[in-house]
Amino acid sequence: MAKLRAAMVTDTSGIGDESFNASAWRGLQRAQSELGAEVRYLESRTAADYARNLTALARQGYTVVFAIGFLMQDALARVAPRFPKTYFGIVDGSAPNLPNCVSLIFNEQEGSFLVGALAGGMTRTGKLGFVGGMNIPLIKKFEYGYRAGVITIRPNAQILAGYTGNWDDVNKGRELALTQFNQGADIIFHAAGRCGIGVIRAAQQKGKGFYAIGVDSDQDHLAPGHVLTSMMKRVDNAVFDTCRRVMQGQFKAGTIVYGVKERGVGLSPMRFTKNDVPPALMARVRRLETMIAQGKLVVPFNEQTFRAFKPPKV
Amino acid sequence: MGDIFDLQLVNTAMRQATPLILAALGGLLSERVGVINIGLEGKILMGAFAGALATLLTGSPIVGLASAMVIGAMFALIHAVATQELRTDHIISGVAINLLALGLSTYLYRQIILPREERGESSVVQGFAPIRSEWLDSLPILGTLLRDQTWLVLFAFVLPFGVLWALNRTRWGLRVYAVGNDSVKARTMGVPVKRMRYTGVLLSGVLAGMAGAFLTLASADQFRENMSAGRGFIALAALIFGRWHPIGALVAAFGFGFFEALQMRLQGQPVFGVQLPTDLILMLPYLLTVIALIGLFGRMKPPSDLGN
Repeated sequence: MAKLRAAMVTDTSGIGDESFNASAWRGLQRAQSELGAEVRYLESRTAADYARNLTALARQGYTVVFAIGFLMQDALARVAPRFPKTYFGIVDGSAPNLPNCVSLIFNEQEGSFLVGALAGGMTRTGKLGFVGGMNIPLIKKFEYGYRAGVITIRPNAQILAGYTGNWDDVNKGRELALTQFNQGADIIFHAAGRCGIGVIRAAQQKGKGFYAIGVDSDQDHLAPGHVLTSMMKRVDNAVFDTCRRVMQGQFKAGTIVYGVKERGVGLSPMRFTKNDVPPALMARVRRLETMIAQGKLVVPFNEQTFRAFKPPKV
Repeated sequence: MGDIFDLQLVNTAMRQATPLILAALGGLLSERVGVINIGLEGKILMGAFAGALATLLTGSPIVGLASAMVIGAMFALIHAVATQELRTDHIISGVAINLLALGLSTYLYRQIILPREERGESSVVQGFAPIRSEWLDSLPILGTLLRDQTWLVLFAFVLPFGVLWALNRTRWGLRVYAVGNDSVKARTMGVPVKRMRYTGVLLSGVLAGMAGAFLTLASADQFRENMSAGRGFIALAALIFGRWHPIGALVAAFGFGFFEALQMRLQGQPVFGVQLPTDLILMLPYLLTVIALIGLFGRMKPPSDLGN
């Protein structure tokens, strides 16, 4: 079998975003060690680099090239038709309708629903926080999935939702979290890239009785015992699976959705907080997980679907 | 409205304003001797990195702070040599410093700090502890304002008055004034123009480095890529809105910190029963700062010899 050459282009937050770029790169590294692939990444400094970087990697003869982030949608639509022999995958965005392109989409709302249900059962104040990065539809999926999860377990809970307006500002994330803690929240879920590091730090500084919830990667170890769980988004698995399919000659164009059912999103193993959660609550969360996987529970992903949402009984 | 405006809001605002005040004063010392300084952002970022790394290695936030100030000064030295010896355009040199700092701090972070994290070690540093005193807590108003603050916050709020005194009451201050207004005339009067400029630019590096150290040693307690997140530019705006005056810079920086704190609170709190749209609220600090300062300070006049 020919050697697989796989590469990726990050958006402007780069490989060190502690989020989906980092996760995608872990997927490629796994392809390197398990499939013997030759791997590489290019970081984009500005949006103008997207098309340039994708083109550069395709020219260099990479078998499969990943565009990480929905911001790269337009760039991919321009580049992909010019390289019909190269396979392209885009994470979080829609791919052009071509036989060499696949779009890897996640049902973030499903995983967020589960952390929301857990938080709803764990809160003592009845107030929960959410810290998002940019106020965009992708992050709304996290917010409304979380909201739905919270009210499923605790119907009268109040949710404080705030946005930092960027992905980098650790200190702003921390101050926003401290503000929400001061307003009475005791658990805060973040979907804010590096700002979320500040949310986790704030929970750690507040000490016992306060939790942060991590996102994308397993962030539980960043403040052991203070991160209740993390909403894992397995971009690494999606990237790795795609590499394997390409290698086995089974590449499938179109859209592949990774939800709870596909184990694309879900709770972290909770290495440090397992004993903090009452078994009865954990059992309810697991039942909800099964319902989602079986298609019996459809989780809202924006304000409109959230309004129409009727919490199930568990 | 009582649960929106209270002293806790000012407490948060003070922390938000601290790095801005320090960096704005740094920018002031540089621009008052005629050197434009848009490289504050880069120096904050390098200061943040150096502070975190040195503290991680030695366990002492004092060493961390000192390292941050030295690194800030070193980057400022690049700017001083570029503008004073090589006659590089001030803006271009500043932009170069920002790009260099972003690239270098990111690279070094991934080489030195990130591998520790991947091995399972924590990258959280033991930063400066907040001032704790029962006597202080018992004071009305001041007790709430200073709760959980580090000494760096206090320092940042006192420093503008020190700088004001130095500018108005010392020989050095008089010379700064002379150089900033007309360097040619100052030179003929025997003022060591170049030395004054080096001092001003280096001090700006020291203060910007300190602002960076605040981020990593008195707030987040760790370094992350690009964590300065535009504070250098906000500080520059504060300096300009404050009309190159230390107290003006203080007021402008605090104003921005205040609206930022207010914005965070409004996101989770309806005003008169109405939840304002997030994007509008996020814009608030920038918008209100601009409006408030135009009204407060009127026309702005930079030092006449700026950029020459």
